[in-house]
Formats: sequence, C-alpha cells, structure tokens
Amino acid sequence: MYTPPRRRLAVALSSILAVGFLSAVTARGVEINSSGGVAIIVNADNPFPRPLPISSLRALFMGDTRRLGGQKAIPATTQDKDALNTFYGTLLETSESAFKSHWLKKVFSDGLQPPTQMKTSVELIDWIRNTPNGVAVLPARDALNKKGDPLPGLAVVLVIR
Amino acid sequence: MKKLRSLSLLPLLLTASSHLSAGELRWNGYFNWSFSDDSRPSSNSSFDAFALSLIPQIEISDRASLYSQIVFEHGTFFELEIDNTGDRSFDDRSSGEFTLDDAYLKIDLADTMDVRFGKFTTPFGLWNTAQYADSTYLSARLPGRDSFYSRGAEPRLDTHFSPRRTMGVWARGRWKNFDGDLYVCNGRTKLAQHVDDNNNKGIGARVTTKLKAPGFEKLNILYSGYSDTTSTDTVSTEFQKNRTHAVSVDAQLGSWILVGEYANATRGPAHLEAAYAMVGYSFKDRWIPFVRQEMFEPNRSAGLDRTFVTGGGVRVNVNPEEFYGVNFKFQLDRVASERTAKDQSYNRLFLTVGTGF
Repeated sequence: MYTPPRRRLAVALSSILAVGFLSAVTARGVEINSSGGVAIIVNADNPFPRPLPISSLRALFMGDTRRLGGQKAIPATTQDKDALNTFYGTLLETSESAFKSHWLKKVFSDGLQPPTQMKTSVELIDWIRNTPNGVAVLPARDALNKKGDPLPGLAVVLVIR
Repeated sequence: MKKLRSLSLLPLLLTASSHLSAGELRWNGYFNWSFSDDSRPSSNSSFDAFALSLIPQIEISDRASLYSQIVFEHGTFFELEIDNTGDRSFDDRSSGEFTLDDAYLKIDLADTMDVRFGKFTTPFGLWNTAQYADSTYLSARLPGRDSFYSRGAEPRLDTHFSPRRTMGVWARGRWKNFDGDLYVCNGRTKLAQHVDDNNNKGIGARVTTKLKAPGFEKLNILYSGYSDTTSTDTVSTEFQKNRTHAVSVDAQLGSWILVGEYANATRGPAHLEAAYAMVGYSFKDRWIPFVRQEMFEPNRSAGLDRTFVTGGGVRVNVNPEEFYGVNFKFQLDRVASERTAKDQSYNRLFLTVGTGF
C-alpha cells in the first residue's frame, strides 16, 4: 500500500478516501458538491488487480509505465481546469506547465502518447464504459451520485478533494 | 541514389503498416526552421529548414511496440553571401536527406521495466531528453550545430557530452523515485559520422533521481556514464579508450526553469571537461526569457584552449494553451575562446520557429 510523503499527508489523506478498487466502498461517504473533488475512475469490469498503488497511477499518467498490475492501461483526463489542477498538484505533485513539458519530451523521444483529454465528462464516462482498460480523471461530481456511489458501469479508484 | 532508396522505403512502410491487422499505427513529429548568423567575416548567414521529423509508432501487441524516427534534414538551406564588392547572393546549399535516427522494438517486461532492441540515441545526460525538437520547448540544445551539445563533424571530435546514435540493446527500469537506463551498443570508429564499429562495444548507463523539495514541481538529478574503445584498425595503429561521466540537474521551481550539467571525460590520453547552465523564467508558458552559459575544455593539459559561450534569449509560444503550439526562439550568444587565433571569438544569433504535431 502506498504511503504519501509525510509533508503531504494532511492534504492527501483528507482528500484520498480509498485506494482499492471496490468502488462502492471507495467512494461511499465522499461529500460531493459543485465546487470540487476529482475522481479517478475505471470500467466496472476492469482487468486491473486491487489494490492499485497510487505510485502506479502516478507512473501511468506521467508516462513512466503503460501497464497497471501487468495489464495494459490507457489514461485519459477531463479538460476541466480546476479538476486538472487538483489532479496535477495532489496526485502527480507537479504543475500543468511541468506536466506538459514532461510529456512533450516523452512524445518526441519515447513515442508515448499523453493522456487523451476529452471535452466533456459525459464523453469521458462513455469512453470508460466502452474501454475496459481505460483510466480516467474527471470532476468527482460527474462520476458519483449524491450518495457518493459511482455511476452505473464505473468503478472509482480514488477521490481527491 | 541514397535519397531515392530512402524515399522508396516510405510507401513500403506505409503500405505494410496499413495491412497490419494487429498493429496500430500512430504518428507524431515536429518541424524546425531557423535563421543563423555570426560576426566572423568568414561566415555567412543562413536559412535552414533544419528538420522535419516523422515519428511513426506501431503497437504490435499488448507488450510490443515499434518506435522509429525518420528525419528529413536540411530540406532547404540557403546562405546569404556578400562578396567584396558588397553584392549579395543566395547560395543554395540544400542537401536534404532522410536519416533514420531511431528504430527499435520495445518490449514491456513488467510494469516497471522494458527492453529495446535496434537503433537508438543513447540515453546520456540531458541532451536526448530533447532530441531535435528543441524549439518546441526550452531545451539544452541550441537551434544549430555550434554547441557542445551537437555531435561533431566526425566522431573523434565529438565532445562525448552528447549521446551517440548506435545499434544495441537498451533496458529501462523504474524503482521508487529512480529511473535507470542501461545499454550495450556498437562502439565507434575514427571514420565518418554515423558509422558503427562491430569490433568494439560501448556500454553506458543513466540513473535519474526524482527528488521532492518544497516549491519544486520537478527536481531531477541525473548521473550518466559511457565507455567504449575507438576502433583504430582501419585508420591507425593506436588503441584508444574513452570514458565520460556527467552529472545533470533538471528542475522547475514555480515559474523558474533550472538546467545544469557537468561532464568529465577521458579520450585516450586527453582529459576533457564541459559544463552547461541555463536559467529561464516562464510567464504563463507564453514568454520564457532565459540566460545560458557553456564551457568546453577539449584538453586540460594542452594549455589555454577553453571556449565559453554566454548568451540568452527568449522563447515565445504563440498558443500556450495548446499541447504542442508554435514556438519562436530568439537567441544571442558571445563565443569567447582562450585561443588567440583569428575568428575564435565572435557573436552569433539564432532565430528559430518550430512546432510539434
């Protein structure tokens, strides 16, 4: 199980409610409002093992690996600026600028593709429902219902607030 | 003829890839164009469509993929010449040619490890984290050849501080905050550039530590090492060992971009040193003014022969909200040599525009 750096514990622990793949358990109890929160979601029938370390998710979105638990994984994100900034700052421990610069080098020197950005959460959720090995970042309010449960066909890996 | 052969390969590649039932073909690339000039009387200014790079990648299976980079270099290259009477003329020095910079099969062994077979740019220091796409972001490399980060016109003049393009096996792995590269490749000859030598092998490694520090979005410390022997059996009777060690820093502190590198090498009896530093400041990724300094000591025991390059410039991203964007880079340098020979010290400028796709 991944343990965040001590300095970031206060932020990370208050925001990351679970690491496992049992989505209902993971997401239950999250306060969803219109102002924030980011969820990382996968297809309910995903092939990934559980639990999934946060370090592996970070490596996937930074292009250091193309696999999660031995299974090929395809990352994607929302275009929502607030959600992305939360995601970059909390999970990836970087900024949008550094993330982009990092990925430009990956594209040209390693031939890797950066996480696809989709215009709307609806589009992203549809893609996840049709892509068993997809992993997507989007505003939590769009992935969870008012009770904090994931929408049908989705599983929540973690929620960042 | 060579160009024709290269051209004839392209449709074959495209045709073959379109029939791959299991393979998924993707394309990336970049384009650079530049204007350069310097104050040496013997030098002329030039326009140069420096590179059009195509980077096809084919997903062969769940674990295997093919990466390649095909570069059309110097597609158009004109020198503006001014003769003694002041008359101006364009000298067409276009020498466009396709080169296959990289082509390797990459196999994922595990989540954290892959191995690559084929032709690649050896992972060494900062340089090949940039390749030729230097105008698409702020990189260590200049938009021209006159840098210690350029390969020399022939291998024996290489500074060794830039990586080689060679054939071999390259393994890359990751463990916690460390990334590691290890490779075995063909050594070099004293013959022409791009020629490998199968009689000698080179071995190298690079370790990157991704540190966390307050305020830093990125703080990477790299160590690189490379060793080979220069083949001499076709040129002379000498046998020469070459070794290079380098320590590099690649950091971003808020809007500050900090890059530094120091390298120390031996080439036979000669002892070389080089250093590089650059500081930039990003204004919302649109304007990045920067200053930079290079130092190269080709032979520590040969007296005063160091060269220093001090300069700066600005990179402007026309559309920073886009992932790739179109970038202009303007740069002025002062090249100062300890050698007193004519034209050893001079000023130079570069104007480059480039984009990725």
